[in-house]
Amino acid sequence: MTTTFDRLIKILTKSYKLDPATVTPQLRLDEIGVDSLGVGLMLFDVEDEFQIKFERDPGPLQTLADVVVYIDQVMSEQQSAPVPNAVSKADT
Amino acid sequence: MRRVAVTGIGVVSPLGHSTAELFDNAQHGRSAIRLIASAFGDRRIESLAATVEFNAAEHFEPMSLRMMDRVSQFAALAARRALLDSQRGALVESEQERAGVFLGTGMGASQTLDDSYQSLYGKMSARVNPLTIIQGMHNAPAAWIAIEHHITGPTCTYSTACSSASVAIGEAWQKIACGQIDFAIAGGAEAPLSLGSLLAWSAMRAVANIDPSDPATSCKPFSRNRSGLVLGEGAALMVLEPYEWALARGAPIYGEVLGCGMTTDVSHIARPGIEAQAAALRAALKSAQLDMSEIDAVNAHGTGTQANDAVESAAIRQVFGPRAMRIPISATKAIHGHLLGAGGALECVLALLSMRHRVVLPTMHLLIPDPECDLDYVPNAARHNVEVRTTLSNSFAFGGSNAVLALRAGH
Repeated sequence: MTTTFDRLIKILTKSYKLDPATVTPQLRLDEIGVDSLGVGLMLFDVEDEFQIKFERDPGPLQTLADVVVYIDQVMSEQQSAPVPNAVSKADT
Repeated sequence: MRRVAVTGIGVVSPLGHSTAELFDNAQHGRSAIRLIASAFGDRRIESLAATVEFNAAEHFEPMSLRMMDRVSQFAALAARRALLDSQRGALVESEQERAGVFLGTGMGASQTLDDSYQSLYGKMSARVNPLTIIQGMHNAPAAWIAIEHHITGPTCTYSTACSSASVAIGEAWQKIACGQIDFAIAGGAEAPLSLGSLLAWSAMRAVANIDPSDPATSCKPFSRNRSGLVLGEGAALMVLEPYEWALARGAPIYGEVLGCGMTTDVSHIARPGIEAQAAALRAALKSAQLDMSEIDAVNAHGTGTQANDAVESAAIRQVFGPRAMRIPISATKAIHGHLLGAGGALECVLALLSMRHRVVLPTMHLLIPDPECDLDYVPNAARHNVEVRTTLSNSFAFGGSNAVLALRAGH
């Protein structure tokens, strides 16, 4: 079964040169080259991949493991409650 | 005032990725214009366009690529090629702050805007790509060039519609001539083939009808049956430096920028006027300290619209008098399309190559003479072994922003 970690690595390879064989959850984001702008892009891509919506500040994300924990938390929250749409057609 | 040499050229163009390929296609009149299809829901919309064959992933790191609109990719690659061509090598620290980037772009990051609209209004998603601002800002193409080559002097972006690149080159010339800087990468980049942009130009009724016999011949500057322009994409960047310095280092010298004339046509936002175009031609001559008798050729703005080509012909007649009939005028947009804010740069490059190779470039698809366009447009075939020492390169823009470059051949 594909894990959250595997899916995250797949996303990051869109923007960074990564060898999935050598990447570990303890790897720090800055070691890959993910800066603050890169974090914003990564979370944007994660929302697409996992069909979730980040609505609160994740706090400091330092390692890939931190990101996996954050994704899993938000997934579990949003699987038990409907994902709110930021803009619906009825709002316009 | 110092003389200013062009010592490097880089192109990413519908007619090729090297100056050799570009010039060979231009002198043989091979058109890059074709029909392209854009997806719109479950429909496909056909448009005429001159596109660049290009795989961006071969040239940029993945993260850079995600931050760059197509227009920035074109600009960065053309600048890289220009610098390599100049045999200048990397700038040392003391040179970096005496160097600048001067780039014209009319529509900037057209595809980024289109993608944002698609996401926001098409998909009704309030999630906007966090890189949208960086991709979309008008100064991004110039900034990428400065970053890559550590150019820490002025980095300026000019957006004067179809004259943007000529203005940029003129500004770079002036800064070097006056001694404010010693090195410039100057030119233009444009990537206007997003569906929104194609439809907007079409709605303005400025775009050529599709020639049913051959779409590649649809743009017909100065021909009586001309019906409009065809959009093209790409970039052309040049390395400019003081002439004496270029000579001293044994640099390849394509030619010189002698001056630039800029005027504003205040008669209408989009309809060209003879007086302001003629004034721009005169201003270029004055700036270059040339008499009109010294001009050997003109690279026309020559868009293929009814209005431009008749007005431009009249402006040239007004400035040159009876001599206008003896000056060869080339309109290369017939084959590479209208690169809008990059057009002036690609045409300046073609004018320099034309002088270097002693070939006067043809105006293709000119089959039916127009009494209003009665000058020598070099119809349909190049002329070889012609000595052309000086050329004016015209760019006349919506908004009335006119710019004419005066160029001299190298050795």
